[in-house]
Amino acid sequence: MLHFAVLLRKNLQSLILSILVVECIALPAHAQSPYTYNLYGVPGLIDMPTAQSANPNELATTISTFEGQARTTLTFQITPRLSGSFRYGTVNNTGTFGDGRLWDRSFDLRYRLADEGRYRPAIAIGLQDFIGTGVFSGEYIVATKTFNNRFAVTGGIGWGRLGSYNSFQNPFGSRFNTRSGFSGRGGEANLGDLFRGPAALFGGVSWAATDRLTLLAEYSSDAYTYESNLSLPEDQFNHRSPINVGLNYQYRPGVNLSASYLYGSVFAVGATFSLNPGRTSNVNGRFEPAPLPVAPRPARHISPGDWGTGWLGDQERETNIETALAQVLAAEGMTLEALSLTGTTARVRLRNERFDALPEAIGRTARILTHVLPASVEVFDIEPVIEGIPTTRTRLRRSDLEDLENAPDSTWLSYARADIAPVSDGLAPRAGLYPRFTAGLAPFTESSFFDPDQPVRLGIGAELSGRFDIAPGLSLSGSVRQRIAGNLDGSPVSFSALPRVRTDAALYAAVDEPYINHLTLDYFFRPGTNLYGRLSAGYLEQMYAGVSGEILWQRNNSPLALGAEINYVQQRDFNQQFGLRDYDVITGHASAYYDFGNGFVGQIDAGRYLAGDWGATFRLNREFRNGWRLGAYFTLTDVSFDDFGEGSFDKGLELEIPISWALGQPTRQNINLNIHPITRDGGARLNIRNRLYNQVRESNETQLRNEWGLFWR
Amino acid sequence: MGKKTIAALIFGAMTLAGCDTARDSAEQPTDIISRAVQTVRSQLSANQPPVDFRHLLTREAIDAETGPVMLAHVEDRDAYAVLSLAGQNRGILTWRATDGITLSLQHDIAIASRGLGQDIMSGDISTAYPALLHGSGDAVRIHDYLDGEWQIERRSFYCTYAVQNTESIDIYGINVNTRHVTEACNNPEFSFENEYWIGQGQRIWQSRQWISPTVGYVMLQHLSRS
Repeated sequence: MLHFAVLLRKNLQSLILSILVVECIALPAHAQSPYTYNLYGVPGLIDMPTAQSANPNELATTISTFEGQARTTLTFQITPRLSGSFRYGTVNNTGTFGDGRLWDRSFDLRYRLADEGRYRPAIAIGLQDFIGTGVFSGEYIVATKTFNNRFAVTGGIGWGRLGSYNSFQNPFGSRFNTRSGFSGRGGEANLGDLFRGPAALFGGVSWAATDRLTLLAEYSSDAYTYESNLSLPEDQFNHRSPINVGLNYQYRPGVNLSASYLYGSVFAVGATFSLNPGRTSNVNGRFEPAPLPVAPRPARHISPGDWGTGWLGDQERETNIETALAQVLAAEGMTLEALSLTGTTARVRLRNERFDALPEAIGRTARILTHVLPASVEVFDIEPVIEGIPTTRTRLRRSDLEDLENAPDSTWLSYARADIAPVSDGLAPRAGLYPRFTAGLAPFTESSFFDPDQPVRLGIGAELSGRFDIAPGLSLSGSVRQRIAGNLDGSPVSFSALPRVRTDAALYAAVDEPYINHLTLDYFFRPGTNLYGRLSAGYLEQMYAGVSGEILWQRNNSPLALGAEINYVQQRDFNQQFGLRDYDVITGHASAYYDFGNGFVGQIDAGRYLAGDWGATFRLNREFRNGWRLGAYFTLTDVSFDDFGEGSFDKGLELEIPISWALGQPTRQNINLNIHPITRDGGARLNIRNRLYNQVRESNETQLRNEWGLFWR
Repeated sequence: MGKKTIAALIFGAMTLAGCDTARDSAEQPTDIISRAVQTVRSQLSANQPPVDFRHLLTREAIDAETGPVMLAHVEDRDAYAVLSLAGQNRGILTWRATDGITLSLQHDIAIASRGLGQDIMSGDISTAYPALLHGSGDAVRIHDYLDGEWQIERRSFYCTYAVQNTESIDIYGINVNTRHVTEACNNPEFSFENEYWIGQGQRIWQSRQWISPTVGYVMLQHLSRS
């Protein structure tokens, strides 16, 4: 059991991480056909899968361990039928590779082909570890039938690892007889091996004895050939029986614990933390103070004097209006950029640095306007600026605000009556607003997950940042960081056949003195209708300095956006002062972004990467309207898989968690987790802090409609 | 005792939110961290004794207030607050506690709240109100909530009304004769029972109203004479 304790400790870092992320924000699970997560972190029995899908959008982290092995799996139910998993596994292989431990990253996909019917079972097809070294590789077709909502019977056929015990010749014929098996480099999709080699049958039963306790038993088709070949001592893992038994207990909603006895040999334990990003967190709703209520105007026939436009042109009264508006907006954490008044209309240019959803900023501004503007002003054009440039305006009628504030169905009615349109013309900024200097001191964290030697690398430190807004769209900003603690400098430095454009990360992370994280002059501008531009120069990121130019075409309400970016950069000194190294490169991409409208956004970037290689990056994001984002990407370039090295090509997962979701308070801060298991030099892109697409899209009508529920919040 | 006393009470004593996360200003990263700490701390110390300042209130202090005031009690959070009138639009009165939480009342029936968490975004009581006054019959109430992705989640309730009895209630030295009416509402997911104490001129002097599954009931009482 001592060994077990070591294993557990090795996984403690990832455990703590999962708890930090999941435990404090866990959600009640939704009652559906009951299912549990297996040791591979997918809906299943103990070591075998079932045909069940998790609840739509469920995100589950499973940590499991038994003698000689540990697995941490992140599984996301991408659509109601399709799920994807990323797994970081360790296999103890004393005596085979020297360091005694194999760290392995793998990806799964599973698709439910058929729903369960009255007589028909649910049927699913799964690819386990289809990109990776192949240690866990196996494919399966499985059927599950539930009875009485408590009892479930599963039977399936497996290949690869899942076709290794009591196997028979491939049922698809002799063409499918050979399977190449373990590949040292890993990373390639093992497509040529899918459903090849011998096959074997597996099956099992589960019984939900109570609402929280499920008992499980299975017949496994995995012979654990790889582990058995290690000739481990008798007291360690040995495959003696295909039968596994176990139980799964719901400790509380969102947290399940499992225990099982495997292969007549060892005990296994597991824990699953699950949540649904599309549901409210367990803080349940929003707690920020209420907005100012609408101040209705007195009826015109009762006090006609209030409705006059005599105030127009009265410099003192106009200044008073502007000052009052700026002050109340500031109290709400917003900045009045510009104000333009006529007798009946107001254009209000607004900088929102507080609310995660723009409609809340727009809705609160509109209500403030009902307090400060004379009664004759009927039309409010509220124009949020992004990096100082206008994007869209939301036109609201004051009488609608008065009518709808407390009306049933006020949310939809107010959206229906709002008129959202693009705006690109200049409006003189308020006197005294520019130039403006802001500075801040804050802690920072940096992280790297699941590299080949260490599951979690973290760094913390202090960051002093400053920003000098020179004119609308033009700013100078920078940050200086001082690391306090961390283990990122221990990242592996390995051989590379390419220019070392990213693999020197550990040398950059080893700096003990203060260093310049970035220092750039940025200019954002509108070159034309539906066009947005950015020019940046300076120390763009940790490793590169140079110049960068970007242009984006995005029409309001159009799902498609197109962009182009070109950069000339030179590598920075490892100490990240002002000095530069010799390597320089012209890099740039043409990009297409497409919002599929069902929460999925796709992106393709094609062009030249930092090492001078040419290729394209493919990215798919699942975005929730509350700000959660889960994404996956991969990059293929003209660098061969051999030259790329471990992993074969660049790929990764991204997770963005809005802090507003976890706290129930408005804030524009996010937690970003980038799971980029192997950083190599091929397919590496420049890190630009402020690319246009995601910033500009926030004020697009589609986005405003998606978040309009917060207009009256 | 004058306005100062109630103001002091209000600042010193309570927050309707029941947890300490409601303070807000322009964002700084450090604020977020300190608020996260506060959230965790308030969750850890959820069993703090509630601050009940009702014994400090006097008729004299209430009458010295320039505007009307109400007393509110969020039962599940054991939080008390004095509400003052913050806005009036199309016959709906918005009452505000000092920590910024508001309740919007139409004929003294809550049709919206802000800052309680799972708030009522808007409500429809157009058939419920006549039935309530009548003290019999049935009606449909509609509440709009926000789901986890900020979409409106509409909940309708079927409600029945009944007069329980007549009661004389004491509100800090004034005696009011009321009829006690109950409103029993349900839908397949939830059920709740609101209570109203209705005095002369159909004024609802006191009530106990359900907001949402996670907020629960709010007790409301008019403190001012009119």
